[in-house]
Amino acid sequence: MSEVHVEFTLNGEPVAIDAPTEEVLLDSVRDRRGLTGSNLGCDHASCGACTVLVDGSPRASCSTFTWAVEGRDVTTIEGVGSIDRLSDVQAAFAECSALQCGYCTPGLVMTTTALLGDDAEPSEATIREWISSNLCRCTGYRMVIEAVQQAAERAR
Amino acid sequence: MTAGFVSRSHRAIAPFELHRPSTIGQAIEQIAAGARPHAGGIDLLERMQQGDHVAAVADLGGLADLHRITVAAGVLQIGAAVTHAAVEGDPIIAEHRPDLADAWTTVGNVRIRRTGTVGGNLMAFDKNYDAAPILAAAGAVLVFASTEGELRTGVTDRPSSLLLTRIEVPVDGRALRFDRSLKPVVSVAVGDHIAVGCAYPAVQVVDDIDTLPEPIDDAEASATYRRRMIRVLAERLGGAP
Repeated sequence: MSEVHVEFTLNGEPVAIDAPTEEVLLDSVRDRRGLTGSNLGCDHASCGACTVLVDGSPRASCSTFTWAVEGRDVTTIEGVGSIDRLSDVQAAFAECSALQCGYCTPGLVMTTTALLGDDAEPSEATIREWISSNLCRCTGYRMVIEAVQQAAERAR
Repeated sequence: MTAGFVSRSHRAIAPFELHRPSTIGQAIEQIAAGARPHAGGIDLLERMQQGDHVAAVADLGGLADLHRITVAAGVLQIGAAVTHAAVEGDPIIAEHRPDLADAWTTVGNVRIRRTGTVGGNLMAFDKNYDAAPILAAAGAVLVFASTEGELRTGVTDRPSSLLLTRIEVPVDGRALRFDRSLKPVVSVAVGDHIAVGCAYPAVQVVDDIDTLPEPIDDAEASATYRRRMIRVLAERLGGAP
């Protein structure tokens, strides 16, 4: 087994781990750090359930080697808000009932957080373009679009 | 490692040796010795998860030259490790080849575009990927580095085992138009040439669509349907009479 030393920032805290070269970021945050909010879905970078932010950009953590985030700033759903202090995006998702089973929700919240960091007043077309990178089998997306719009309003 | 946190990713990747070259020269030697280049890593991880045997990986993240976009002497030079999002949003490309940036906005999705790279998309040799038809239609030249020196090729005759360093696109080419709405059946790009993706084992480049060979006939679509759709898309894009 070949190991590599990796240092990065995880939800604002410095992290240093020695990981096998083949370890992916999703396993590092779930198994090593106990941050189980990022979910494993398709396991090939398509569904978006494992989305985390790397330097503010959405990234599929199931398909990112942990060593590839060396020196980067990684944010998972646990770094966005908490049960007691929901972020604007989380509060809007709850308010708009933009989830049913909830499996895709952490990924959608991360994608939305990145979108609003990029564009504080996204058009519906832009919202559709961004959330098309996250699959949701429950909501039909209409409530998700409303939640993103409400999150943008809350943040203003 | 803490136990009990549900499942690990279910398609485990076999252990491999990691190289982190800090010069192109080191990367060339590592790749010549069999290491697989990793830029965005999207396609490479997928292949490794599916069981491709990879003994060593060369991380191209430390090679600044591969991440540059410049223009000189009427030629746009795009580093192989430039992301799709950078092609879409780079001010130099917007000034000199806005049509290229437009064609690129439809590649993958927002998340993939910010990680995946132009070179990775090309060097994956996947018939359904978009970089090959777009760049072939634009008459792009690919520049490779090897232990033997620099090699310049077109998109269709690119070698699979060398390090792609940059893509050169003439700034005065005919405006590119690209339609991928029928993927994975057919994609068509029209510019200086007509390039067809998805419908053949590798991208086909012609100046007259009547000279195209017979397309693939498979479970996704018949050859007849593909041939018809190539014409429909080429006509829409102004590439057929």
